[in-house]
Amino acid sequence: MPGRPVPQVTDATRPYWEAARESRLSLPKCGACGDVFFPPRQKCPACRSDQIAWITASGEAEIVSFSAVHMQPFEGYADHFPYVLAIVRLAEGPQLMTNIVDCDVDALRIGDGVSVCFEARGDGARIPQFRPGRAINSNQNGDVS
Amino acid sequence: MVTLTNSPAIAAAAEIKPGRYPDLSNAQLYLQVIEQLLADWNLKLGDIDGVLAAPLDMATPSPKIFTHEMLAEELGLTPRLGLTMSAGGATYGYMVQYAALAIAAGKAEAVLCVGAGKFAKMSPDVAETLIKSVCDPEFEFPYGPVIAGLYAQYAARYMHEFGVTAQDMAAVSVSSRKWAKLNPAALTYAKPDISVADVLASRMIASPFHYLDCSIPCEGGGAVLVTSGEVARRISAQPAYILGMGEFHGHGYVSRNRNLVDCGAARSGADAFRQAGLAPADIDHVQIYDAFSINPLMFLEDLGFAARGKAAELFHSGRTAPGGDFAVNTYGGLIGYGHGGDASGMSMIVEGALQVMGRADGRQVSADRALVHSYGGMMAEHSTLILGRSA
Ligand SMILES: [Zn+2]
Repeated sequence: MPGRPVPQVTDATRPYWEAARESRLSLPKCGACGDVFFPPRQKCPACRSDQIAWITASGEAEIVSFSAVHMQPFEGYADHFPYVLAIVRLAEGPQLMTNIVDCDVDALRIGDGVSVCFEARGDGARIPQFRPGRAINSNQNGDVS
Repeated sequence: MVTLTNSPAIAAAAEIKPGRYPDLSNAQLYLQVIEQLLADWNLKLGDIDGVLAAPLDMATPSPKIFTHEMLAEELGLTPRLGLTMSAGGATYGYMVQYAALAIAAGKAEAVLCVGAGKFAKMSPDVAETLIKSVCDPEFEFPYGPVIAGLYAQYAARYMHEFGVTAQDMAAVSVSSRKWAKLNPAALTYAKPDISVADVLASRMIASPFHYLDCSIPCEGGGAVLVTSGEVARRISAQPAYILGMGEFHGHGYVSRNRNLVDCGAARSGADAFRQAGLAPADIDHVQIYDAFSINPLMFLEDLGFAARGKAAELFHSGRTAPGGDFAVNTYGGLIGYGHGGDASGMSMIVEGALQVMGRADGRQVSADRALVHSYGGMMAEHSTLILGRSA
């Protein structure tokens, strides 16, 4: 949906958003202590090492909490209501805010398994989104319109 | 128990009526609040030697970081102590804490703590500005968050883990409305009583919150004067002595909180109880920041007033409402009184102080000791104050 916000990229977060453009969920992993963390930072939050590598995540996650939102957050964000605002915990550990898309809102439960898909925003940007069920395959190239 | 030197106390407290002030600028609202404090308590500006202010336009992209200087100049003061402090809704609790520390250290004798704010009527562009001040602009904002939807993450998880229900949250709003109807300043003073069924029948905003689970955005402002006990006794027949203080800073944005059912209120509460040498059973009434009806349930449990998942019984049984033995949010709470924008974190402090001072008019409760809890950000930083009638 082109009217929706496009991520504001910084040096530390560029690899995350570059991977998302290719429909991959990528996470920073510390080369010194092995911590997989989020959000991306220049230094590992656990040990302050600057040896940051990037891994491709499994795309599997679990719903930690969610809300069915019945109001427009800002101009043009949603065209049908409710939409789902959620926090998910990735199999690799980090938590993300996301929408749960392609779902039956009334059937959604905390603890449900979800998997990543990608939503096109302006300028070729894509953002990770999550939908119910396991990933169709492990290269996480599911896109939503 | 850790006794503070000079017995710091809230000597005076006042708020302007929550509502809409279209003819006043934000800066004029601050001055109106100060005029109100001076008039209500017969104070002279010369009595004030410290100024702690919340930044003018706190929840906008351009908060005014020299608000204390602007106010001092406007009032003709040259204070010994002055700062603009900012920690969202926790700002005012921290102001009282730092004023008390300054007084205990002999750095000031009478510290004005003040804030006011506009909370514009909700529209998509206002919502965008507000939401950007409390969410991660890069990793949360792209998902269309609304404030109710962010708080809902806590509420839904809390319900999931502890079996709390929508009826339980609704009971908080029911109790708040009963108190608001005893407070002529409250926005819902003239509205009818509500039932749990009414709350559940009100329109859904962001599950699990119905319209009547939400605080009411408006404009407002409040101020307190924190002084030494000696000065306080000259101003007020019964000062509200500051017996305990606690502060805790946890996660930042809501999606970073690894444990959504523990925001850190228990930590600030434990520090305040330890300093006061008191336990929850010693507290007569509680004033808790309630942006949404889930907040009092979570925090009463965090603060030790009920076991996990059990705070709702305090509301269902009527103990928190007028006539009950454990009054909560006696001014109506932000849900019944109004959420005065940037200054909302002052409302529960003013009420806690007025109750302890015996100045709460038709809603006065037996109030030897108050606990006042407020927080800032997405329940990320916490302030707990314990106030009492004797130092
Ligand atoms: Zn590391």
